[in-house]
Amino acid sequence: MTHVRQNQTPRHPRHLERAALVALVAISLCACQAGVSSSVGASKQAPQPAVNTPPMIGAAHPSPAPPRAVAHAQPQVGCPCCSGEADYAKFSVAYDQKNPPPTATQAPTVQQVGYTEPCGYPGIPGHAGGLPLNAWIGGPHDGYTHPTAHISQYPYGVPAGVSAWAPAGVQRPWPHDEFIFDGGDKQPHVEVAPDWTVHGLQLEDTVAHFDTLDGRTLVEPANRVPLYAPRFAAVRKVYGIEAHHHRTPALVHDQPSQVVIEQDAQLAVDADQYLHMRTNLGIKSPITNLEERGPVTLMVQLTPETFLENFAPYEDLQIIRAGIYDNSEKARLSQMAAAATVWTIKQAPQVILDETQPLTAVVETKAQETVKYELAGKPRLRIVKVANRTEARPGDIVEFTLRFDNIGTQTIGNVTIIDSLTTRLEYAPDTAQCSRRANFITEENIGDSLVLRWEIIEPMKPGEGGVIRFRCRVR
Amino acid sequence: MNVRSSLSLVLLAAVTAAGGCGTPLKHHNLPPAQQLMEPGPGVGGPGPGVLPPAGPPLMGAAGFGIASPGGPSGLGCGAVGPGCGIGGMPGFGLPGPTSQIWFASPDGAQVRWDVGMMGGFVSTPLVMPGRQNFPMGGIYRLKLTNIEGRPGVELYPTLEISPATPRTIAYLEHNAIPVQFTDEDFAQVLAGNMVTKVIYLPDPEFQELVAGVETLVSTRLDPGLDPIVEADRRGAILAIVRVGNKDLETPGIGTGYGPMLGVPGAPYPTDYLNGGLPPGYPPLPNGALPNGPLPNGAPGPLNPTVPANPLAPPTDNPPAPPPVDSPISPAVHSAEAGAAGTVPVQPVSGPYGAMPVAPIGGPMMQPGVYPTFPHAGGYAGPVPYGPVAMPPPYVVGVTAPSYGYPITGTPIGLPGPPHIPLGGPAGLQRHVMNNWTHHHLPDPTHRLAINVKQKPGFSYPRPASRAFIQEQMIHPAPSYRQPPGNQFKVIH
Amino acid sequence: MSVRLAQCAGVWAVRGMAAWTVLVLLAASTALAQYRPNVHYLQSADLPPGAIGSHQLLRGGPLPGYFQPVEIQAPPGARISLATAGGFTEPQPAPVVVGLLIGHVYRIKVTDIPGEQNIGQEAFPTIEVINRLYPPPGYEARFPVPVQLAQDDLETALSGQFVTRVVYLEDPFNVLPVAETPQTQRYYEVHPQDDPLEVADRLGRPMAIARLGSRQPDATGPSSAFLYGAPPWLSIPKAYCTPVDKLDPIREGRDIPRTP
Repeated sequence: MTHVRQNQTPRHPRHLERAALVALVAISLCACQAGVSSSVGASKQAPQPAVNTPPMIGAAHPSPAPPRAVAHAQPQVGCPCCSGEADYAKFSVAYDQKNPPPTATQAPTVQQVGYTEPCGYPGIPGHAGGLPLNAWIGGPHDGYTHPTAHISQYPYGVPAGVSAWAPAGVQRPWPHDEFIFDGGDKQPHVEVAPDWTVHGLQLEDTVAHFDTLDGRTLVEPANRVPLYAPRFAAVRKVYGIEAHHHRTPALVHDQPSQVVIEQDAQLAVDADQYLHMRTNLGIKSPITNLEERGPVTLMVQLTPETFLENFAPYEDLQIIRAGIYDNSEKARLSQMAAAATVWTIKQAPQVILDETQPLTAVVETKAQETVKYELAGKPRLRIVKVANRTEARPGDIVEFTLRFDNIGTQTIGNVTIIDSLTTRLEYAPDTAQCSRRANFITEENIGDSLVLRWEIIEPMKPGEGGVIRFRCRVR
Repeated sequence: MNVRSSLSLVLLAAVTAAGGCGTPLKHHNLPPAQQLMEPGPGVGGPGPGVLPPAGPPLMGAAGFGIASPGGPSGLGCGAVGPGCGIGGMPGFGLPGPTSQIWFASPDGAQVRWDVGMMGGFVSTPLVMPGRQNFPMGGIYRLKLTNIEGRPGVELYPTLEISPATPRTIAYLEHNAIPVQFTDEDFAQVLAGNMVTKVIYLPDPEFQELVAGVETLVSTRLDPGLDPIVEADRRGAILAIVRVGNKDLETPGIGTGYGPMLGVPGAPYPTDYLNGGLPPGYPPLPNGALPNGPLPNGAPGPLNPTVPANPLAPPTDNPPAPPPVDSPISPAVHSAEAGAAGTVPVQPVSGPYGAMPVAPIGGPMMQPGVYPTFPHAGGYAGPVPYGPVAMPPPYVVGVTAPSYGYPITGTPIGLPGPPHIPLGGPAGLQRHVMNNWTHHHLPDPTHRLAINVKQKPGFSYPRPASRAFIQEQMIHPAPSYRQPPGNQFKVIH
Repeated sequence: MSVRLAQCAGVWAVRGMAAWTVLVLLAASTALAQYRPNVHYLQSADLPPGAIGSHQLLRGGPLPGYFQPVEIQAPPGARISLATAGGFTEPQPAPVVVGLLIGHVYRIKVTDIPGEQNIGQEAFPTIEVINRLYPPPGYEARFPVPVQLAQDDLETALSGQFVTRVVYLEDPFNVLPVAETPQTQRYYEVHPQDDPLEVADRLGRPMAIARLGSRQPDATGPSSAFLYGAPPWLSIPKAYCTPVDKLDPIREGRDIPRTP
């Protein structure tokens, strides 16, 4: 279906939009059926690890893969995994001449000489304790690889959530404790009361809600953006040894059965009473924090800064710039936004209902809906979230971009976009931008981070959209 | 009445439910590790199928000791022990794992030890504070000189290094064992007392966060307490230092290693014989005892009120009876007797007094089973004396009772039932012990059914199998029936 | 009749309270059970070095042979050497990023420890990596496991204490809402009666264990046993720890140089 749509020339913006939605539904269906990761869409389009295969995505997209990588791959005909020693030695020399390693140690990088293999444990095979036969000592695809080795494979950066290895059948990104997420709508889903009170907003959630002409308030979640950002801490324990003194006195000969004690008994004493756990930081659990503050929330009303019209490179997608979903950007968008998690299952039946007709028991349903939509139009908001990077160390700045579009056929109003940042994300002050006139409000959430809230002032007509940017510091 | 009973029932259910949730009704736990090493209550030895604890990959690789060339390696690695079962590579002639001793104080004092031969104290003097590695499982004679404030005083402490256990390996591989002599120690020693220092790694429940360099939390024990027993109760013993005022280099007195030679059939190397005896001392045939002083002094752990006299003249010592050993508290016994230098032949100061227990049999420790002796060619480290290279703990028959041997004690410390003191008729005729311990040790699961359910599951609408087509006309066809109004005609 | 109804109502009220009691007790016991799981931990941090990592290797997965990048941090000014066959490498200023095998024990040497009382002192801690990260391809060296040997650790160890430091990966849903500074690693000090490995397992995923003490190598040089056989390690230049987009483009497509 995607190919058919791709070859068709879009005659009308609405056709284009439908094609895009159908394609995305196809992606999400694929993801749902296979139960696999966000890289499904990417792996269909992105090149396989073989370096000598010209990247398909380069053909699909005007900007080709770096030619350097292709040229570099030419000598390695055949198996791309084992590079020839001569070839390797050549660039190793070049590396040493041009860029000596910063560590500048004279020792070899892999210390193999004189390694005596440990003996292992009872009941454990010997190789478990020692260096295994298939131990990786620098090969490309088994373990540690050079950072730039994948540039040709991923011309737009390494996709979010792609890790080197994951157990079969486990949905990526994996493992979860090495990622932080932002976006989506976790269970329980967000509900908006008639007075626009938001319920069920949890950490990481990013939703938009809007009012329709017929008085309903609808909620639309954004996609979930993973960031590879592991953080570490340590547990320390200190202990020492003790000693007992004992002094055996000499005995007197004529009283051999009696012990002569020279000193009085002394009870055991401890030298130190330092028993308490010591931390270098006060611990305040989020729940405690919440109770202290009480139900009253502080709200700060800020005005967004002027919106910068130029787009960052990671935002250079038609769906961000103009709200038009270009099919050729699908793989790239999947990399930037992990598209398999973008389009929720909730959306799939809506589109299917629109395009194809089920065989049975439809007559009744369709008749009702047709009547309704013909009268009032179809209100729908699409919200897409991308980040400018897929990994971050503590202290790094991550920029998020939200694109929201009214893709329905009805004017919607009171569009409100809410992003509850997770604990590890700290909003960088005064970095929020919005391309439409909006009130920007921040509010603390239970994770000691902020809830960002944009209230779009003017109603949005069909086809209109906007872009929101903000930056966060990774804690 | 009805109200009260139902309320109490509900409350009872509440308590039961809460208790049942917080503490499950059936606990599945293992007995303590010490019990796992024995087949049952009151019976010593490792139980069948008990695996040795995990040990270190490398530093325990040389077996539990230092095998000597030509010496019997009867224990070898067939025995159960942490260093042995894991390493599997008894290092013949190589030094085994070592413990690092940090002689902390007094500053400026010098320590020497034996190198290459016994009784020489010919090592390069180590000026305190300083460090030296000693192979584990040995007892070392040290010579302490240049003590500040006490000119001319030379002391001969012994340093006993325990074998590593899984509990202590991590510590010993990263830390030195501090040994320090205080001024009070010297005063006690010169006053004729014997000072025993037991340095141990406390178990977690006894550990406390200590501070300060002079790291030792030195606890002075009551005189009635055995420091070794106390330390063993609270943790794992790392080293034992004993200081007395005996001068080992006084002319005319044996070196204190003499009794070692009396072991029948002891396969000690000849250089040990020659080196261990003072010049001019005739070589002794096997089985004979030298007429030298016995460096006794440490009372048995359970019998501290019947000590031997460390300062007795040589003629006070009776001839040595056959070797004494007891299965009770073997590790302690081995360490204690080893300090006295007379483990295989211990005439009087066995842990349970001078009892000729050879007929008991069973757990007899054969003297010849000490296989290891570090005095091998090429090894220039410290040389222990005495029962060198103590085997690791819980070796059956050596440092643990033989398998299945009852260690039920009698009031006089004998490990048997048959003997009672003074030869009277046995009063105790029958001794029944019932083990009512609840135990539930199920067999392994033979068949395991794993049920997997994914929620939500996969569901697609069933394909249509029948269709109902209903045609409806907006304008119904005309009715060709007779109109009801025309069916009846009333004729007036 | 009405009296009887009222009695019944009272009965049900009492029963309702009792039912609430049940619920509260259940909740309390559940909370307690969650605080400390009623399990036997097979391993503890007191095990001999290398034991935990070897068991980890037995569990399968892509652990054997993987050089997990580890960033060894030390106080400013301190220098770090790694063990080779028979000795140590030239000291390098901290931090040092190296790839270490999982399950092996690496002895390192820390010299030039700051502080007047530490002049001439050398510490010889060990590092045992017991788990690995699964970063996106190409970012392995950018996200090393930080093993910090803090000044307090080193001084405490040199004074004769035994310091065990378990580095764990934080659970992102149970983190402290504070900003992480790259130079200091937060740590929890546990009571000596507690097992740091167990505590770290409750807080996240244990990644590495550093043990510090006061033991020095022999006077004749470190023995093989002291170095744990000097297992191989991988030197990772600092250039590879930078993000990909900041790399010199001339190095595209190249692997880490290694000696054949």
